Amino acid sequence: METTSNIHVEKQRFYIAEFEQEAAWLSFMHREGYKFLSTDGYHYRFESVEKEDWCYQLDYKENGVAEEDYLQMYRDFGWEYVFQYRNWFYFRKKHIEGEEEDLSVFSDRESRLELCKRIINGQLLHLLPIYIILLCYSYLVIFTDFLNHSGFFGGLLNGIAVGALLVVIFGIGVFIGQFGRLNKMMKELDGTGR
Amino acid sequence: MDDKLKRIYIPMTETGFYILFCLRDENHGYNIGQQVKQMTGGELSISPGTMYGSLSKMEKDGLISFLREEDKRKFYRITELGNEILKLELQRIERLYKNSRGEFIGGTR
Repeated sequence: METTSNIHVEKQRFYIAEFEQEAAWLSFMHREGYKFLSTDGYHYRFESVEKEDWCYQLDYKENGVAEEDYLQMYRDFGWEYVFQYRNWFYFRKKHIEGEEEDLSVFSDRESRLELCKRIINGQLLHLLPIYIILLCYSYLVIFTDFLNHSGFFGGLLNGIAVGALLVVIFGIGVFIGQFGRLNKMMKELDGTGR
Repeated sequence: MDDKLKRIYIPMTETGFYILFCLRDENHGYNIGQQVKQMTGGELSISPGTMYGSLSKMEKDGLISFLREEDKRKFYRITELGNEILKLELQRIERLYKNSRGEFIGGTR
């Protein structure tokens, strides 16, 4: 796929509640000599480099816009901006031996909670209307005579309806799973202190 | 003052308190972080995601106002409303401190 020899592509799927695992994996890859370049959500492109200890972190931005002052804030604090994929922003910072610095882009419980809320609002809730529309369509075609057609067209409508239903079932499954994980993270954050 | 804002901001998070406190003079994110580190002897360090989120939220809630942008950095300063909230929070912290030393509020013990 790639023509340049020092480019390395890995296939990996992280769901939205797995941003911490994703960051840890990117850090691991850099330690193995693969410097993260970009992703489309499934293919991760790396450049072969020397093995180094870099810490990766993800931030989720609701408006999905890389404003200059936003990136400058991270740069000021010593974070290198790497890549944006949809509303996700990837940053990295080199780990310096002996330095006891907290390598996280969020330094308190409240802002980690806010991050989880942003993800739920942005990634999960906006999909609900789509699922509801698909579900209504499937219901009308399969269980009522509302869109009654026979022959090829009817078969097509039915096929699409069954497909839509499967998409909804799969989508809601993922939705419940990810929502549950984020909720668990939030509960853990809420449980400490105060 | 809005009761809802009081509920959100009092008691304040440590990060929130220091950010608001440092914005009594105009300031930008990274510099606030440096000042807080200095003031607390390095005990509190605020990360960029937390700083950016707090500043955006406080601006939205009207506690601080955006003044200008210089070298891609946004400068803010506390507003009248922000000052009121900071004052209430300072009173609360003072009460905590006094109580922790065995002093009662109102003078009699």
